[in-house]
Amino acid sequence: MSKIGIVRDGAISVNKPVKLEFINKVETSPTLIKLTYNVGVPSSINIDSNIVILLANPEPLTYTGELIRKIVLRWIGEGLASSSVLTLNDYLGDLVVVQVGVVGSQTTGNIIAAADSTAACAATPNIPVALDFSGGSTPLVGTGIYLTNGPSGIPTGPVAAGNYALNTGVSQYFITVNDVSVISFIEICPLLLDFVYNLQNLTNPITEPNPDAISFSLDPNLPFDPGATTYNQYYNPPPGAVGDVPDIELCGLFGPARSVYGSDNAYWPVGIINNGTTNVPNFAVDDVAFGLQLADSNVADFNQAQLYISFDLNANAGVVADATFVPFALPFGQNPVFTGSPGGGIPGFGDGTSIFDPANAGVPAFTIAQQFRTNLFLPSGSSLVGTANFPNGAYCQWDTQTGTIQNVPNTSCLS
Amino acid sequence: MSKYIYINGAVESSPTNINLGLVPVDEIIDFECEVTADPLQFVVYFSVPYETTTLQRYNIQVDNNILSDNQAKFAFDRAFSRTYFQALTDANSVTEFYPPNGVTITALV
Repeated sequence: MSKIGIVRDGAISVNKPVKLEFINKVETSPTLIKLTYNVGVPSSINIDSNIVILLANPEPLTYTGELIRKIVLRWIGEGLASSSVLTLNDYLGDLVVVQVGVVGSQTTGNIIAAADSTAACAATPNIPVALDFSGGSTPLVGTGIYLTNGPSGIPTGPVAAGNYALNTGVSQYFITVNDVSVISFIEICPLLLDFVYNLQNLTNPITEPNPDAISFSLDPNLPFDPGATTYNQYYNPPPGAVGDVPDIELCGLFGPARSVYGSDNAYWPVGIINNGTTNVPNFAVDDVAFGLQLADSNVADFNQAQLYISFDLNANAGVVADATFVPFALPFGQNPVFTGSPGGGIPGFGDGTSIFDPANAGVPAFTIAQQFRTNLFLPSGSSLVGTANFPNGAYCQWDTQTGTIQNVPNTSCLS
Repeated sequence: MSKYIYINGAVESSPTNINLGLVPVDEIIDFECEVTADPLQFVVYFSVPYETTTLQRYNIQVDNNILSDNQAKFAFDRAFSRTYFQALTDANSVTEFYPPNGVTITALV
């Protein structure tokens, strides 16, 4: 048997074994011990395993990284020589081990101190953290959380006990972290949408103005797999109707032709509902709504706004607070594209699955993500949250990978 | 002598227990219940010569009438820790692991 030591994980009060052999690097800081193993492998081949031990350090001026390194080396040395299994915690004095182990599945995010729930939900967290948790749902009470060096999620130390706003990129929370860097309380912040575009309200003919007339540009010739039905073939708009229109045509500066409400527009969904001749979506049946959260609800600027989508707004009687909205992000190759969607894709877009063309439903590599181009029309309206007012619609460009609006080339676009 | 932990699917008293996995004790470098979208998973990490870190991942089903997911994570980790250190000191080459009451291991994935 190989020689091991014990480290008691203070977060879960569990004795964890730590191998004392094959350690080829010991890194320490006032809040971290990192043991790197290179098990029988030539040092030129970098296939290390790492054990990370996070420490709550009440006296960082006393317990410096150098002192902690000496403590660890003493524990390793005595453990290798002893017939007993020695516990690191017995060597650590006032230091408290808050987490120990391999860095496994985790979610990255940001925190910032917040006095209470109201402050947390209005805050903009900017201190990078990682959570011992994956999957995108709400973290459990008991989930470990630690400071990191940024998006790579490499831990640098525990989170000090206190109240924080936590943003995981999907949702924002008010959390309490206890003295062993574990979430001891969590409350999800309500999602405050400045605009809700309920596609149920879109029926032919859709005319200007219409506050639900959000519309996306699409590539008319995708999917391009042999034998696949393209966007244009599926909805069959009249010849000349275009699914991706430049702003000067879309916004009707030179007349109504190809405007989002026009007779030769094939944006989805407005152009298709008005002009499609086959497979026209029926949103009285398909429950789809989009949402938009402005960067600042009191400033009339769509830049950096976040798009959301819901598949249960009408099932919840149109009550936004009861519905589930998720970021409208379309990562390439992800199947299903939306786990909350009844078909995995967008109801009313193709057959509602992650693959647009039913004949190619078995092709996992080509999802609807590739069909969306980056142009977007947002109708006029006023924020449901703040004072931002948009007297005109806007022609925007969005990032399909994140669902954020990146550019607003035309802010005087129809209404 | 190589030592192993047999992972059983249900509590020790269960009449229908099955072995779901075999864990080589000497290669373990970490273990922990990890919270994923669904279900809860128990992960054992190994450090094996000439390989990067490998792992075994077991799906866990929690009876929330008995334990919350959070309680199940703690109870499971403590139970496995006890079994691990028992395996280290036992003369036997195989030590049985049974999940705590309220937790079932459904599959090695």
